[in-house]
Amino acid sequence: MLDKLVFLALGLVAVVTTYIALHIFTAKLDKDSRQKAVGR
Amino acid sequence: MATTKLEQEINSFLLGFIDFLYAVIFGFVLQEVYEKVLLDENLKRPDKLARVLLVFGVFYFLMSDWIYGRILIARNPLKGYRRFFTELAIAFSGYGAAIEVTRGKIFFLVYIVLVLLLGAYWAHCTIREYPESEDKRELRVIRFLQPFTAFWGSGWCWTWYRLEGDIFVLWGAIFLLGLGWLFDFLYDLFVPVKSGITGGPGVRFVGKKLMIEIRRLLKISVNEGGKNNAR
Repeated sequence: MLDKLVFLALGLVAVVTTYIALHIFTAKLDKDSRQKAVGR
Repeated sequence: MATTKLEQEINSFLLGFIDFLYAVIFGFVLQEVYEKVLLDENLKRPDKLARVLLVFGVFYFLMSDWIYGRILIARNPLKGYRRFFTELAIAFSGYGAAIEVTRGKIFFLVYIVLVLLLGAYWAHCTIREYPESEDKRELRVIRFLQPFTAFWGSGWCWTWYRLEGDIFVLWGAIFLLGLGWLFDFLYDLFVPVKSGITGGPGVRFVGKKLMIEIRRLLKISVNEGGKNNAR
């Protein structure tokens, strides 16, 4: 049972951190492209 | 786009070679799943089910990777041989994943990790070849996300090997499939696919309308008419 919990926790951490990282990364990408568009 | 007819022809035969390799891999997966899994009388039913599920997962992963790769190359044709050789390495790694998954070994994840890392490098090369590509945003997300996914995949593989050994079991297979689907979902959440055949298959079981609703709930702002996603 404990091993299942370890894998569940590992999966959960992987998904949540990836979600947060993607959120930050895509927001930065969109901000950069907006600034570039204004620059033009 | 390829500028000359000769370049288009070269692109065509290079891609033909890679497609042939992928056809061999997919044929091999089908053969192995029958010979080594379904028709193996010594294998217990839960183990058979675990292997069939993961073979399905790996098959789907490689197939969608190949489709998205082709869509991106159609929009950003090969200009040199770097991406071609990276594609070859990706196909070789896919072959390794197929062999290991039919044997029931968790090390198939090592090959999946290789596919992801090579895919990120492939996206990097595409950005360098096409700095003003319409797919630049998607390619940058691929270059960022895939090493991230590879990190978690190798962590999962290492933890499994330490705690459970090198053979995967049914609950692990179901768990891995779920995790794979979640990563696919996250990708679609932040990089919306075009509707229709030019967008690729996208994440399974979540329609475009539902995805838009989820994005609205999570306050994720993206261009809904988005371009292709890929490796």
